[in-house]
Formats: sequence, structure tokens, C-alpha cells
Amino acid sequence: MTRVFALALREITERKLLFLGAALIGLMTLLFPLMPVPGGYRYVEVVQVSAAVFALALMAGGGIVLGATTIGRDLSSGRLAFFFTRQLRAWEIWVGRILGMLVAVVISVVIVALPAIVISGGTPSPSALRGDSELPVAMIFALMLPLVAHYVSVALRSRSAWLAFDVVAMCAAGGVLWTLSLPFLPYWLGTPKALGAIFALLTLFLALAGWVGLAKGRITPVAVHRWSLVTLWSLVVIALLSFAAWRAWVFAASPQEIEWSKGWASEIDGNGEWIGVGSGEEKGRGGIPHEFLMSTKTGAWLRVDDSQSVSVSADRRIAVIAKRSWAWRPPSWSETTIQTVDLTAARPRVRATGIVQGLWDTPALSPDGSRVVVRESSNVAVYSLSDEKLLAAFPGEERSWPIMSFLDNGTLLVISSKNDESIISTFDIARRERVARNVFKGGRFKRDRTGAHVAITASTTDKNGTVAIYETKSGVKLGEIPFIGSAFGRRLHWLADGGIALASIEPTPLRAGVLPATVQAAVTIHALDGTERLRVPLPGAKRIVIAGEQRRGELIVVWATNENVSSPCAGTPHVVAIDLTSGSLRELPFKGWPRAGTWRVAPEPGGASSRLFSTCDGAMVMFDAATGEARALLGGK
Amino acid sequence: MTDSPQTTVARLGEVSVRYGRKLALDRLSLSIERGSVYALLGRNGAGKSTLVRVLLGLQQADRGSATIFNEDSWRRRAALMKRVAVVPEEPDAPQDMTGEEILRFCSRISERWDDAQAKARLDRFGVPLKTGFGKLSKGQRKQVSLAIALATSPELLVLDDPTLGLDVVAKASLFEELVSELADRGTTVLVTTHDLAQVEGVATRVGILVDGRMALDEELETLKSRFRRIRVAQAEPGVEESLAPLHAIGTRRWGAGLEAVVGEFDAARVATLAPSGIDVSSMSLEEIFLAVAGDREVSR
Repeated sequence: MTRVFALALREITERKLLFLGAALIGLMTLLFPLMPVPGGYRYVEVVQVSAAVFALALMAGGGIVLGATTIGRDLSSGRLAFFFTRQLRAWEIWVGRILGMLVAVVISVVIVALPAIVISGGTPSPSALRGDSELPVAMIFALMLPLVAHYVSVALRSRSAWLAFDVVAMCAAGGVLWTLSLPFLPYWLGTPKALGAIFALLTLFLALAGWVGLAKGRITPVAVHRWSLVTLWSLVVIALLSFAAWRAWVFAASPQEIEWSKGWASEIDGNGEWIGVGSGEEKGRGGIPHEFLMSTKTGAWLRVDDSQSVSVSADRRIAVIAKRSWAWRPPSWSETTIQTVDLTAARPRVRATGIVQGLWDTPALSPDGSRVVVRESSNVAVYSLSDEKLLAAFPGEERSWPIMSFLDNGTLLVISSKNDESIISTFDIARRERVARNVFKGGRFKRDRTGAHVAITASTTDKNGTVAIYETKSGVKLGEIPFIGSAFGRRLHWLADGGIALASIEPTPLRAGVLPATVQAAVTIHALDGTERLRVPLPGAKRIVIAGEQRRGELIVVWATNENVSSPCAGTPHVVAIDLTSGSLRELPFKGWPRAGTWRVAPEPGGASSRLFSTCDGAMVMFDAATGEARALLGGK
Repeated sequence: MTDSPQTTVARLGEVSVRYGRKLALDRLSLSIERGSVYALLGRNGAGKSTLVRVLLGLQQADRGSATIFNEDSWRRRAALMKRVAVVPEEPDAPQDMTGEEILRFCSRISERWDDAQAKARLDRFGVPLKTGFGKLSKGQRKQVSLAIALATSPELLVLDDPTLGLDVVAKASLFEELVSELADRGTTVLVTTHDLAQVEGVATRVGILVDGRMALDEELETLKSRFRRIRVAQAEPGVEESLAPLHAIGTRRWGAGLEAVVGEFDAARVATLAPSGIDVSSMSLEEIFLAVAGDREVSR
């Protein structure tokens, strides 16, 4: 190491003029505030900012100039032989000289910043050196620059034809890296940590290439370049192949290999066969969400990554996917393309269409699967899937979030939420005209299975409100149900007979130390006019979820004595079956929590939402209340 | 010539180096014995510098082997440089460093270093220690190179055209200095030079490179005893054939006379060439070099 330090010291002492220049710049920063500056900045601030600008410029510029000349100039002038005819190993020459050069750059940067540090009476903030800060990335980048400059300098000085290879390899590697990175860009690849890792890897590669170049090429510029080139691009190819292999492994994951504890599942066809399942951002599998379309009956699955939403036709033959990704650039957050899947195929595959959605709303399929409705910026558009021809376009509600569905193959129902209002429009596709438009109070809604009725929740206070039931086409209010707590999501359920099940629960007071008021927890069954047909008290329940009807007339409900929603199994979940005729309650021998959302469309009895549960060990199972059997669908962890 | 590990300091075996289509060294072999002063001669582009680079482990041969002290000079370069010193054709020390800084730097990286000797040498030749290397005269730069080479007490000293750019006095003193210093130390010397007159006084063995091939490689005394210039005043027809056994390198006729350089001089056979008018003269190294390498076209 003595020789390395001797070489480094020589490099540092050789930069006397650089240090002198840095000192002059540092002193100049003290004079900048004396010039007229608009905005009335403080003297110290102006000095600090100018010092930072000059320090950064010196770090980048100095790094590039010194990186390009430290060894490259000696190589082209034949002076590198001075070092190779001494007792110096190639790595000692490389490390010693590059280390000395880097230290010289750092010293000059410190000299520039020193007056600013002195007059501000402090040092750089420790928070700036944290791992999630951009400063470490900038420092790694600054470390990489001289090595890039060295490589380019040697390549240019060698004047060999291999330079063309460098250019081609750089373009190719950049293109391949970009293509491989696309799925990860929206998640973590653009973060400072990831960029820092990439820069660090490139720095390592360049350092190794520089060393091998010197060790094998020694004093011959062409040979130094050739060996550097072979080393650098071999490492890059190995890295890209490894990245490609890892990427392939990430995307080869089946639903069974994904950890579901933070995942989601959705019933998407209303009939219960096809569900959408996805994980959270999986660290073990690339830090991206994995999304699948999966049959609960056969276990068949199809990867639908970057799909914003999926719909299945009523006859369960076709699915449409709104997919976010593009082949050559990162997935757009606002634009989606429509893809279709023939679910009757032995191995269902995704087929791209030319239909583009301006936003990421859920497309809907007509009952026969021949038409799809998408949202195009301000319009709602209906396309024929066979020839991708536009059949009709209707103006949507401004600044609203529409839920689109077909009442039949020729009638479109669009429910839009806007400022605590729900606007329900019905359109005739053949005549290309709006048939009805009704505005209701309340921004949360759930339509029944046929689309004939809609239940709209409106909160009167933060603890209670009403659920109003309307006829969608006429807008006639059929009834109203007061509720306590929340009446949305899985606390409101459209029954197969057209009635409504509602889970009411009074929330616990938020203030610590105050005893809760009498908790009134119950599941109530209502007719369309709002009258209560049945009340089933669930004493002690602090959480209630309505899973749904596994068979007509029997409602599966899960309740727990604990409010912790992030830990479903805490508080011992009780899975009960309620007889909708007698109101009798039957505790089922199963512990789990319903997992499937219902996409705001009431499912049919026996649908996945009533059967799909996650068990306490994180597995996803299909539970049959009649037999008590829990069939494992996806393994837990 | 013996070629044993004990006596051979440097060796090239069947070394070939190619630059594109040009063969710079063509299956070249060479041995340098301990304590010898080996003068490597050749015209510009003959391959001398390539040979030196390969021998010193600065360049890898396309084929063949290069060893110093029986160790592979490519693989063991750094370790070998403890026992080897080089004075390059163009002094290559860093331009911004002063003589003093160069000596200090070399003392830090060399296991064997005689600082007093190096300073004394520079002082003797009036080389200023505080002046940047780039600002020194060519002769002074050579002296700095020589000083740092000799300060490591090398067992093998490689001088790559050490007199290039030096004036006549500096050339003479450099060789005199070398002879007196190195003779005492028993240092082996490989010197490439165009200064044949100077090197003739110090070399013990000579190699002449022609187009990447060793045209000649032997002890200087033997070489000089073999080569003669023969002038025959009245040369009968067929004399050229009679010269063939003497390895005539070049023959030239003028009028009735003939002049030839022979590589295997044999007085008895020469006497048979003509009854009278035969003039035989010994040759200098420069003349021998011209006879061996001078008439050939050197292509780069």
C-alpha cells in the first residue's frame, strides 16, 4: 500500500495549480454578495449558494478533465512506461493514480466550499448524508464521471476502430437496459437508491475495466483500450443478462409464488369464476405489483401486469383489460390500452387492440362480450370488439369518476360521482342518445345485479347517514334506510332477491380513556322501499363484513371483536351464516376473512366474493359454508 | 555461448510480434549473459524498441517467451523491476516534477534505493534538483533517468538509445561513465543504439536486427575477427565463386579489381585468390553493421 499512497501523493502534489485556483474561487464566493442581487438574500446565503454551485461545477468539470488526462495523457505520450518500469504492479498504478486524482478533486471542492462553511459557522447538514437523500447519489455519480472520462479518453487516444464498437455497444446496452427496466421504472428504478446502485455498479465496472486495461495493455494505447473495452462490455453484458434473467424470474412467478399477505383479490365477473388477484409491491419479486386473472374453478391463471382494471363478460367468455404499459416507454399513469382475452381457450392469451382509454377507468363489456365501453377524456365511448369500430360516444360528466356498465347489449348505464352527488345516466347505443339523467345526493353508490336499482349512501354526520334506493332509469326514490357508522363497501350488499343487507355498527369514541357508548352491532335486511324485514344482532362486534350469499337465502357474514383492520385475524373472526327467511344465525367452523372486492356490481349468489377468504396464515381459500370445506387457492406465508 | 539459468540474465525465445500486417519481430531468439554488455543494433524500424518492450514485460508477444532472471517478464514484471533498471530513449519522468521530487518518489516505491548516489550523480553533472523535469535540457533529463536507474543498483540495465539527442561530449562521457561504474558492479547491460563508434568500446556482444530478425548475434571480438574487407587489384573471372566459402556478404567490381566483405575470413584461402595485389583490412563495428544491415530496405 506504500506504493499506492506514494502514487496518490504524487498525483495530489502535482495538482498545486488546481488547489490555488480552487482557493481563488472560494475567496471569490465571499465577494459575490457585494454585487447587486435582487430579492434581498442574506450575505451568508449568497455565499453558500455560489460556493455550492462552484463546488459542484468543479467536482464535475475537474473530475472529467482529470479523469481524461491523469493516465490517458501519459499513455498517449509514452510516459506511462516510467511507472511500468518501476516496481509497481498495474493495480497499484491504477488505484494510486486514480485515488490521488479523486482526492485532489475532493480537496479542491473542499477548498472552494471552505470560506462558505467558515462564515456560516457550520458543516453540511447530517440529514443531507442520509441514505434516502440525493447527495450520496450525486457523490457516486461524481465518482463515476472521472472513470467515464478516463475510458472515453483512452478510447479516443487509441484511435482504433474499436471505438465504433464502443459507440454501438453503448447504444445497444442503453436500449436493452431501458427495455428491461420499463416495468420497474414507475416503482423503484427511478429512486435515488436505485440510481445510486446503478451508478455504483457502473463505477465498479469502469474501475475494473480501467485496471484490466492497464494490467493487460500496459503502455500500448490500443491494447489498453481493447482490454478495457472487453472488460467493460463483458461486465455490462453479464449484468444485463443477469438483470434479464432476474426480470424473467420476476415475471415467471405464478400466483402461488406470490406472498398474499398484502395482496388483493377482486371478483370481476359477478358469477364467481374469474377473479383478479394481485400482490402489493413485492420486494422478493422485483418490488412491483403482480396481477393475475385467475379461475377459481380450474386454477388457470393469466398474468395481467400493469392492468388498471379487468372486466369479464356476463357469459364469461371474454375478458377486457385496461393495460398501462407501453413497449418503449414507462407505463403511462393516465393512458391505457384495451386488451382482450378469450377465456374459453385452453391457454388464454392476451390480445392487444387499438382501443385506447384516455384515463384508467374500468372498461365494461356488454353481456354478450361483443362491445366494450371505455372512457376517452371527457367522453364515454362504446366500441365493437370484433372490428374495433366506434359505435357511439357520449359526453361524460365533468370532473367525475364514472362507473360504466351495460344494462343490456344496447343500453349503457353510467354512474358518476361528483361533489357528494351521484349522476346516473342511461344511454341508447343504437340511437346514440341519452335516455335519462338523474342527480342524487350522496357520492357513494352500489348498483344491483341488473342495474335496475341503485343504493346511494349519503352521510349526514361523520357517524351516520342514510342509504337511499332509486330506480336508475326513472330516478324515482323507492326508499330510505338510516344507518349508524358506515354503509358502504362490504357493509352494504344487494341480495339475490332484490333486497339489501346492511351491517350497522356504532364506532368506538376516538378519545382515549372514554368508555364507548353502547355498541349496537347488527345485520339488517331491507326491502326496496327501505322497510326492515329482518334484524340479526351481533353483540360485541366491532367489525362486520358481509361476504355475500353462497346460495340464495343464506348470507355469509364475518364479524370480529377487534377494530384492527390491518390484522384481520385479531379479535377472532366469527364466520356466520344468516338464514334470510328466519333470521337464524349459524356459526361456521372456519376462521378467515373475506378478501374479494366486488367492483361496485352486485355479484350473483355463489360468487367468489362470498367464498374467497384469507386464512389467518395468509393463504387464500375458497370456503364452502354448506360443507365447511376450505379449498386452498393461493398459499400463504 | 552457454545458455544456463545461472549465467543467462535475459532471454527471448522464438518471439513474434505483429502490428496489423507487419511482422515487427519474427521468431526472434536472444540470450544475454551475466556481466555482458549487449549492443542491440538495427536500423530504424528494425524492431529494437519492440524487442526491448517485450523483454521488459511492457508489451506481450504474440508468441514466444521472454524471461529475465529465468522469470516470465510479462507475468513477473513488477517483481523483476526490483533488479532491472531502464533508461528510455525519451526520458519519461513526469514533466511537472522536479529532480528532487522524482528522486523522492522513486525512493518511496523502490526497495533498493541509494539516494546519496543519485544526488551525487546529478550534482556531478550539474543537473538542478529544483527545476521541473520538463524544463531540463535533453542531456540533463537523460542524466536524471540514468541517476534513478543506477540508484536502484540494478543487475540488468537496459539503455534504449541512451545517446539520442546528446552532444558529442555528453555521449562520450555517458559511455565512459557507464564503463567505469558498471564494470565495478558486474551489471549486465542491454544497450540499443545508433552510436556504433561509442558502443564498440564497451560492448562485449552484438546483435544486429534486420526486419525483425536477428541477422547476427555474437561476441564482438569474434565478430570482428571474422569480418574482413578484401580488395583484389586484378581479379580473375570466377573469383566470386572462390569467395563463397568465406561467406562473402557483398562484392563489388571496379575495372579489373574487386572488393568484398567476408564473414568467415580465412587467410590461407584468401591468399589463393590472386598471386599478388590482395589487400585485407579489418573492419569497425559500424562497417560490419553497414555490410550486414545497410543495403537492405527497411520497411515499416
